Formats: sequence, structure tokens, C-alpha cells
Amino acid sequence: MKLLSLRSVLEKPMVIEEISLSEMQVELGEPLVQMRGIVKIFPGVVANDNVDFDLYAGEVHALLGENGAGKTTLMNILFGLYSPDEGEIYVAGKKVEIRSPRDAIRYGIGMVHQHFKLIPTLTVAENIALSLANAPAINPSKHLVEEIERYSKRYGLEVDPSAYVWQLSVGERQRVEILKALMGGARALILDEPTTVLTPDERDELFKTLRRMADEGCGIVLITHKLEEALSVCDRITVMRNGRVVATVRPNEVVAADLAKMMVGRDVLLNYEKPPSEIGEVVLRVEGLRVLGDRGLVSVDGVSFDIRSGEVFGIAGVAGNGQSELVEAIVGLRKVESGRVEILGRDVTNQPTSRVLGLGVAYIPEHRIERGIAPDLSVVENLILKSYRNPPFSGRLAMNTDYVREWGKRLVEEYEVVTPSIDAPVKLLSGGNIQRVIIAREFSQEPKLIIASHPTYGLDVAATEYVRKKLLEQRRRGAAILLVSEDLEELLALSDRIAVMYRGRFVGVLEADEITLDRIRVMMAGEEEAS
Amino acid sequence: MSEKAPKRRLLVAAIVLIAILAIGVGYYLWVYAPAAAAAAKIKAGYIYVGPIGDYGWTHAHDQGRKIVDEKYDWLDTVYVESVSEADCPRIIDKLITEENCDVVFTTSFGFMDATIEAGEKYPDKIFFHCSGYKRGANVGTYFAEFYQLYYLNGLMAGALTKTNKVGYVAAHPIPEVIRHINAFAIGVKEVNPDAKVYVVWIHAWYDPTKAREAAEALIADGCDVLAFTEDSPTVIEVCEEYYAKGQPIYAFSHYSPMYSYGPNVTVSGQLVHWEVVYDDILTKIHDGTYTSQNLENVDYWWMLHEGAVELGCDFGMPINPKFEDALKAVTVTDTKTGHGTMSVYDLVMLRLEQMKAQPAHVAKVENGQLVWELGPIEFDPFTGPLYDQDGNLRVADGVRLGHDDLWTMDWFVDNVVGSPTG
Amino acid sequence: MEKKEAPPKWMEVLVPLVSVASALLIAGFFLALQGIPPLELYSKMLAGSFASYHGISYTIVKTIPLLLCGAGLVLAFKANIWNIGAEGQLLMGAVAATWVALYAMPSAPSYLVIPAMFAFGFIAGALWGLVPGYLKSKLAVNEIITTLMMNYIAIKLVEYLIYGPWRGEEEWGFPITDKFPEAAWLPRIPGTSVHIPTLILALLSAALVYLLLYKTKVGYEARVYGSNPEAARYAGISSEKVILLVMAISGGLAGLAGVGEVAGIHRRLRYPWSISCGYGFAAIIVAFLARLNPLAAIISAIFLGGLFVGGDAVQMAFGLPVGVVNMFNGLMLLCLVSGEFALKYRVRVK
Repeated sequence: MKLLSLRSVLEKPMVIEEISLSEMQVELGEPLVQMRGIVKIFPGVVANDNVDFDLYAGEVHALLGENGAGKTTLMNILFGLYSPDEGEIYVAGKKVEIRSPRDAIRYGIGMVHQHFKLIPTLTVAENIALSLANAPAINPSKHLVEEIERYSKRYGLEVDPSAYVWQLSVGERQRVEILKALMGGARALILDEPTTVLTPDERDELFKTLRRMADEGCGIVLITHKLEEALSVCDRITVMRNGRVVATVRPNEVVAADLAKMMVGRDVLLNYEKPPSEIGEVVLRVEGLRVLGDRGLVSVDGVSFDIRSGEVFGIAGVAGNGQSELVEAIVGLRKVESGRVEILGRDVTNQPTSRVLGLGVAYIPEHRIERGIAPDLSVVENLILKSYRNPPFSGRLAMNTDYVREWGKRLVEEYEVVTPSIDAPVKLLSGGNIQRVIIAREFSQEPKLIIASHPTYGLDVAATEYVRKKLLEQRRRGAAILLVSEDLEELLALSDRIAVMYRGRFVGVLEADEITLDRIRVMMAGEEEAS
Repeated sequence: MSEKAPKRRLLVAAIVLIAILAIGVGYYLWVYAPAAAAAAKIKAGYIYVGPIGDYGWTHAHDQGRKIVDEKYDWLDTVYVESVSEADCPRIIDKLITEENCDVVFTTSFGFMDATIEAGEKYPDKIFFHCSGYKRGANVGTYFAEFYQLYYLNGLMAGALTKTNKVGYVAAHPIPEVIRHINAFAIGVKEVNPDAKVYVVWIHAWYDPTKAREAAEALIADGCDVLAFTEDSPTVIEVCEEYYAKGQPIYAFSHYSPMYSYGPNVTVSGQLVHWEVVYDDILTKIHDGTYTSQNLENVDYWWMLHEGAVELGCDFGMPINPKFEDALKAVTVTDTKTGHGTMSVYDLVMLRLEQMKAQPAHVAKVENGQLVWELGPIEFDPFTGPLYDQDGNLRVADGVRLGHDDLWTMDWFVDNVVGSPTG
Repeated sequence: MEKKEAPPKWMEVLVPLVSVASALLIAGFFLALQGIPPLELYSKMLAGSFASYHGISYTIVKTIPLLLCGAGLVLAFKANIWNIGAEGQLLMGAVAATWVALYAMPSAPSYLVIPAMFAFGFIAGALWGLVPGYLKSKLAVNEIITTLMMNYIAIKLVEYLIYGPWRGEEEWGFPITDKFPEAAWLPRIPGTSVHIPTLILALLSAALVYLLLYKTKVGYEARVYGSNPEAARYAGISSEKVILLVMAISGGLAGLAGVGEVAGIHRRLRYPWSISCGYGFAAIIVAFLARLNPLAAIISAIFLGGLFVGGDAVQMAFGLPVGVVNMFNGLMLLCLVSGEFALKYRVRVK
């Protein structure tokens, strides 16, 4: 008897399981998921403070907010990664308890994380098979191929089921993640900052797909901090700040500035004032630079330009057209094949990075975590990375700890770095604050030349505004600035001149009065201007 | 969560830990401290270098310990196995201070320094060190010697080899092993002057993998009889495998009865009776003959005559009956003691009796110094003429090697192939 | 499974205690099954390593080499350099000390020969560490493999020396060197085997590694390099300098441990495994249990030393085979490592 009852428990572990969005009829416009009064407290922080959130069938719903506003926490609760301290969740109108992602998937809720959870050495089909509870036991990937193709076609998620994941581009990997969720029965799909890793084209593709999925009856939550995304593709926008919902609006009811204000809690500068600055001597001169890329192909092919003090020289271009290699060659991280780099009249071609940077060059690297910081070291220790070698930071052997701390505290205040203390490991900081640490370190030395690669990439609105303001401050002070960015608005807002790079060459250099968005777009596609 | 909670938890954890500590220590003192008082008996501690299950050196010592422990009511024993040389001083301290041992036996050469130091540290305790040469007022030495057995094994090997190649898997190139290889080679040569002994060093006392490799290498090289110094029956097992494949290779077991590992291939071997030595030492301590004052010149170097060693691959079986006929079929002339022509089997038995009848070496004290003199034995393998590998006459005709020469032996006799330095 | 952010401080103290307690519980269960009273056994163990004069003194004897090697490894691991070669570096220190004591200055007085032994021991260990360091910095050869291989070379070298040219003349042909002249014996705390100079050096080494890492420029550079070599390169920190310096100090400290073992304990060179007992490998555990904090390495070295020492009390008192003792020690380490893991990661089951 006892055995029997045990078995029945094992076979039917949960009663609530009957509810599943994938099998239930929820009409378009009806709520798929409702969250009511969600409270989640982490030690020292109220991450979600009495939050209500609805997702309807057939809508793309933006969850907009600054880093740390509580959007990801809220969605992690919905996906069963955290359990809420208070509050209720309803799926298709029925109250449920979601204790794990497995529960969430059963209810028809899927999530695509910022960092993909795919196994690179397996094929697409194998990865999907792994995630499906009901995949056939023997040679599952083979049986799945057809199924995958069916889903691919239906939602426009093109991907080769037999390709290995390591062969795929980031965008394709994201598609695999979405397929995984859909084939797992997801009807409510959460995407966490899906566009940060995508190229503009891939991003457009994704949005088309999302639209199609919504039309098929899915509900989609798009976690983002980018205003234009929220405004352009979403049906509704819920804005969060400090763990609370500020408002839920429709895109036609608001303009970008309104949303920015809701997110940040004050008026935000979207258009920067750029007073004319005094243009001085030539700080950086690049002549006929030729550089090879990682695969040994020519990446920078005979590029020449000058930057003078007080001037922002922007480089526009689709990623992968030689911008990164150009910057690396200038700072000495990549070998120059031919040509010449001069800083303040001194030839620094193929000089070690430390010498180049020692000439008063500030460098804000493209990969800020990989290159810009020592993640395990404290905030203050990261702040002295460029200056620790010299007095008063250190003597012959020993560090001058007192001075360093004093100085670190001042910088943290001055640059408004939000950190528990100057001794906290810098890896615990948010992306925006890490960038502040880097900028504080680089700008505090009054650099003559600033090389900034994608300085606001991945940052939220407030942090982006801050970085841009700081760059303009440096321009006013008389620094020469090389700005590489994919964000055309940023380039337009900050640059005095803009070069457009295509396949290793400058397609053209636009002077201040020639710059328009359309001209740059045309040139980015490689078409030279006939001017 | 309030600020104080973690601190309170920490405090609780600390109190619990201290309480456990206090209970443990208190219990220990209560249970074990009074035990120190009762000591009408003798308590002997044994320190082993290997595990008692090693089927060799340590196993043999532990067998000896068990036998005397059961034999005498007045004796208690305790042992510690797998003691590294660096840990020996600590283990001695423990045996003396915590286990209240009166006698400590340290059964590895590497324990020598530690034993001598302990002797100085505990002047009223008694120590016996196996296989060393340093003594003190309360530190004696002892060793059960195999060279006579290796010689007898060599006689049989010389008769059984058809390829005239005899292999020897050897542990470490130290005098003890060199002496045994020489004794074996001398036996081989007496029966078969054309045969050579091929030595492979494995540089380990216990390493079945290397022993197997060495044995297979020797067989591949043409050897059809193997002897070895290594604390596992691996070589025997290898030979048994070859026998099963139709290629009989014969072997002599080492230190423990290994007949059962190769009943078809094991001819004979070397066996030890440490209990004979332990019995003598402990009885003499018990009756007051040995004290912590008079061990300066006490050294046991016991062999067949004293009964500390036995010929055979199993107790009571000097020669595997399977090989009796083969050994009886080969005849030799006893040129050394003049007993005429006989079969190898009879020669082995004759030599065995000769060596059992009288001691080979006798310890004497002269001017307060221990001196080993040659015993009145009729035959000893290490009797001249003996030539080294370069053909030099190392021992003149009729001259016998004594204790000190044998204990420092670093050269091979002329029918050994291999280097005595490893 | 995901990484936790910084665990609260009280957890860092509580978790190891819980780990030790659970190891005791698990082992106790199996011991009780075998009819051995666990409490009695634990009290014996504790008495064996910490609660008696002898126990404490031998725990310290074990702590000395564990701490010297462990402090060096903390430095190396902080710089993300995987020195698995402390064992070999220790042996080379022992070889150098033997050379000084027996061959270079056999009749020098103590005040010359003892500093000379430590100096040459440090240099020998450092050189042994510099070889893989050089290969890593110049040719990018993986140091895990090279340091490991260098261990075996050191072992073979010691064996060659004691069987060959350095075999003692007064030792009846046994493979050990002659005893060091008395001037080269390290002074001990009377009645114990605790060699005083090495003990002081060991404690100093922990303090020095701490100062080096957190108060000097090179230590800062090492930590930056360890945390992110790319950032180090960008900051103009020479990776060669960091690797060579770290390997030299790490190897040198292990070399000092080797000097202590031959001049303080054995007073001669002998079989490699008799000199070291695997201290160089156990020191890896010391470094990680200390969470790469050089001062905490003092505690973890004492803990591990005590664990080794406590084991044989159990063996004697209960006649347990040595395997049970090893199992117990292994269980203890396993629980501690799992505790560490629990501290750093949050595990989700389904």
C-alpha cells in the first residue's frame, strides 16, 4: 500500500500543473500573466516594491528602466529564478506559485537571458533537444530537425539545425535561444536586453520576429533601457525606477524625453550643447596606417588623419570595418605594418602601450571589463592603474597607501561613482559605474589626447549622459578626442568632424557643416560621396 | 534582519566549538591519564614503514609481532603503519608518552637517526632498530639475513636455466641488495659456470608496475628463471602468466610465502621468522638481561642457524615438489667442501644442513667494542676465490668475507650483468 | 548554479565551522557502524595534535614547511600563476643546503653556515621556479605542466645525488648523505623537533607576502596581472617582470622550507619522499583554504598540520588501518572545499 502511494506521488508531483499557456485558449488582448503586489528584498536593497505588471496575449511589452531599477529582478521572479517575498502571480487568470524555471516553463513562460545558455560544441538541434523535457530518448536531435524547421519558418527564425553553435553569429545564437523557449511551449516570452549584442541589421530582424510572434498570440516582454527601442517596436511600455513602476504608457502617448524623465527622475539632456572650442596644435597625426586584423587580413588600409587639441574627431562605421584595429594600432596594442603614428610630434609607431599612454593619452577601451579594469581589485586600486608608478602615489618600492586612499575618495566623489566603499571589488559595480571609474582614472590626469572606443555602449541613460558630458568637458579643456562609436546620434552630438570607415579605409571625412545623419548612413554602406 | 544577528550566531558557533573541545579534552584526560599508572607488563611499540598488508617486509614484521604478542601474557603490543621517515620522531614520542611503551621497534633503515635521537631523549626506555648500524646504551640493532637463502636459490636457478640467463628484479642499489644478488650469483655459478645473472633496478621497495615491467623485460631478453627483491608477488604472477601461455619461466619468492601465486613456477624462495628475533629480545628484556644501560653492543644478525630465516616459497616446503625431479636430474661435484658428486637437489640439502649446523658469524665484545667474527660454519657462500665484474680477484682463495665487508658491499661478482650503482 | 556576490562576513566564519562539523558527523556515523566510539576517537585526535605538548610541537613542525610553501603559493595564485611545483622547489632548497653544509663550507661556524644554507636554499628554489617562469613569460608555455614536471626532475636529481656522488661515506653504502656537521644543525626548541630559525622565517614569510601584495608596487602589479592580464598590459605592467618575480619568490620560499627539513629535521639529504611528505602539494590546499590571504595561511597551515598529526594518534589507540585515517582527512578536506563552494555559489536544483 505504502509503495503504491509513494509511486503515485512520484508520478504526479504537482497538482497545479494543469495550467499551461501553450495549451490554453487565451484570446488576443487577454492577460497571459498578471503580477500583483510583488515585493522582493535583497540585503540592503528593495529590488521590487509592490510592483504590478500585466502581459497580454499579442503584445510586445517594453519593461524600461535604468540599470538597477528592478526590471530584471521582476522578470526573474516571473521565471522562477527568485521567489518573491510578497505578492501573487496569475497565469491565465489562475493563481500559481512558480518555484523554479521548470515550473515557469510548464506554465508556458520562457526567458532568453542576456548571456546565452548554449553549449558551443553541440549542434543547434542537440542544444534544443537538451532543453526539452519530452524529447525522444534515442537520437533526439534527428527527430527534432523537422520540428525546428517548422518553427523557424513560422516565426521567421532562420537557423540551420545541424550547425554547431560555435559556428553561429551572436544573432543566430539568440534565435536558437528563442526557438528553445518556443519549442518548450512558451507563450509568454521574456527577453533580457536582447539588442545589446546585436548589429543594427540583426536588431531589425529580431524586431520583425517579435512582431510576428505577437501576432501569432504570444506575449513578449522586452527588458531594455533604450528609449528608441521601446518607442519603435512596443505596444505598451512599463517604466520602472528604484524598484517601483512609474507608469505604463502607449508609445503614441509620449516622446523620448518624457520616458527619459520617468526613468531617471529628472530632466535628461538628449541634445548636448557644444560650444565652439579653441582648436589648437595637432595632437595626433596618423599617416598611411596599414594594420592587419586577427586573421592576417588587411584591416586598416592606408588611413591618414590629424586631430587637434579642442577637437572631437568621430569615426563612424558598421562594426568590423577596421575601427577597433585602428585604435589598437594607435595605442600600441596591435602591430603597425606600415605608416606612422605621431603624438605631439613624437613618433610612437609600434611603441609599447605603456609608452604611448605615458605621453598623456587617455584610453577608454572598447571592452571595458576585459581591458579597462582588474575586476578583483578594489575601486581605488583600479583608479590608480595608470598613476601608481609615480610619486606621490608610490615611493621606490612601497605604495603610498594614505595618499592613494585620499585621492581615490576624492575621485569617487568627483565622478559620482556609486560604490559601497572605495575598497569594494570593482567587479561588483554596475556597468555605468565601472565606466565612471575608468573615466575618473583617465580624465583625472588631464590628458592631451583621449581615445574613446564605444564609451557609452551598454550604458543606461543617466550614465550615457554623464559620459558624454565629461567628454565635452575635456574638449573644452583642450584635449584632442578620437571618438569611435556605432551610435550615430552620439557621434553627431559630440563630433566636430566625422570620418566614415568602410573596409579599412575612410570613405570620407565630413566637416562640421557637412554632417547629416543621412550622409553618414550612405557612406557607411561604402558609397563615396561625389562631393 | 537586524545587525546583531550575525554576531550572535558567531558567538553561538564559538561556544559550541569550545564546548566540543572541552568535552573532548576532558574525556581524554579522564579516560587515558590513569592508564599511565598500571605498568607491570612490558608494552612494545612497533613502527612500520609500509602498510601491514604489503605482503612483504612490513607484513612479515607484523606476523612476528602477533606471534610474540599471543605467546606471552606479560606482553602488550601496539603498532603504527605507513610511517614516513620524517614522521618517525613524532611517532616514537607518541608511543612513549601516550601509549606508555617500554620498548620501541623501528623497522626501517630510514628510522635510524630518529631512533638514536629518541634513545638520547628517553634514556630509560629501550629501542631496537632493524637493519641499521648505530647503537647506544639503550638502542640495539637486529636483522634477519637472507644471503644464505639467496645462495641456495642460486644453486637451483643454475640447474633450472636452459638459456643460461637468470634474471633479477632488484629494489635499490644498496649493500644489502647487492649482497643478496652476489650470493644468488655465486650459487648459480657453482652449479652452472656458464650462466649469467641479469640485474634490473626498479628503485622501489614496493612497486608492482615497475616490477612487472622489469620482469617482462628480462623475459624478453631471454631469461627463464627470475629472482627478485620487491615486496609484492608480481614477478611470480608474471611467471605464472607465461607458464599458462606455454612458456615456463621459474621464480623464487621473496619475504613472504608466495607459493599460492604461482604453484607451477615458484621453485623456492626466502622466508623470515621475525618472531624468533622478537622472542629473544623481549624475553631478555623481561628477565632483565637487557636493560636501558647495556645495549651498546647488542646486535642481531641472524640467519639459518638461529632459525630467523627459512628456505622455501611456503613454510615447511623448502623446495616445491614439482621441481624435485628436475633438480635431482642435474649432477654436480661439491668442490668446496669435498662431499663428492651428487644431484643439485642433494647439494641444496647438504648446504642447508651445513649452514643450519653452525653460526656463520658470531658477535663478540672486545675492549668494550662489538666485533663480528667469522663463525665455525663448514660452508659460507662468500668464500674466495671471488672475482668482480672486471675480472679482479676481490677475495683470495680460501678467504671468507666478514660482517663489515658484507655490510658495505658495493661490487658485483663476475657472473652478474648490470651496474651495482643502479 | 550562479556566482554569489560578496558573501556576508559572518558566513565566512560560520561555513568552515559547519564544514568541519559535518565532516565529523559523517565520519562519526561510519565509525560508529564499525563499533568505534566517534567521540573518543575525536578527542584522541585532538589530543594528538593540539592538546598535548608533543602534539602541538609536531603540529608546528608540520606547519613550518606548509606555511612557507603555502605563503609562496598564495603569492603565485594571487597573480594567477599556477605554481604546482613547490614540491620540487622545496627539494632543490634541500639540495642547496646539503651542498653548503657538506661540501661548500663543511667547517664553517654556525653563524656563517646557517645563513648561507638559507640563502642558497632560497636561490635554488627560486631558480627552480624561474625555469617555468621564464618559459611562461617568453614562450607562453603553460606553467601548470612545467612546474609539475620540474617536481619530477628535482626528485630524480635528489635520488641521483644520494645514490651517486653524495652517498655518505660513513653510512655503510646506504643511499643517504653523511650527517651535516653540527654547526649546520638548526637550533630546535629543546625537547622538540621545532627548528626555530625556519619557524621564524615561516611566520615572517606570511607577513612579508602580505606586505608585498598589498603595500608595494610590485605586489600591486602582480595582483593586477592576476586579476586581468589584459588590463595589466594596458597599464604598462610588464608581465615578464611579474611572472619572474612571483615564481622566484614563490620558489624561494619553498626552497627555505627544504632547508628547514634537511638542516632542522633530518640533518642529511635522503629519499625525496622522506624529506618532503608532499608538503608542496598540501600547500596548495593551505593556500586555498586561506582564500589566498597570506595571513590566513598561518591558520590553514596549522590546521592542515594538525590534521596530519592527529591521524596517527587514532591509528595507535584504535588499531585502525592507516586508510581510515586518510579517509577521515580526505573527508574533512572535501567538506571544507564544498563549504567554500557553497559560500561562493548558489546552487539551484531544477
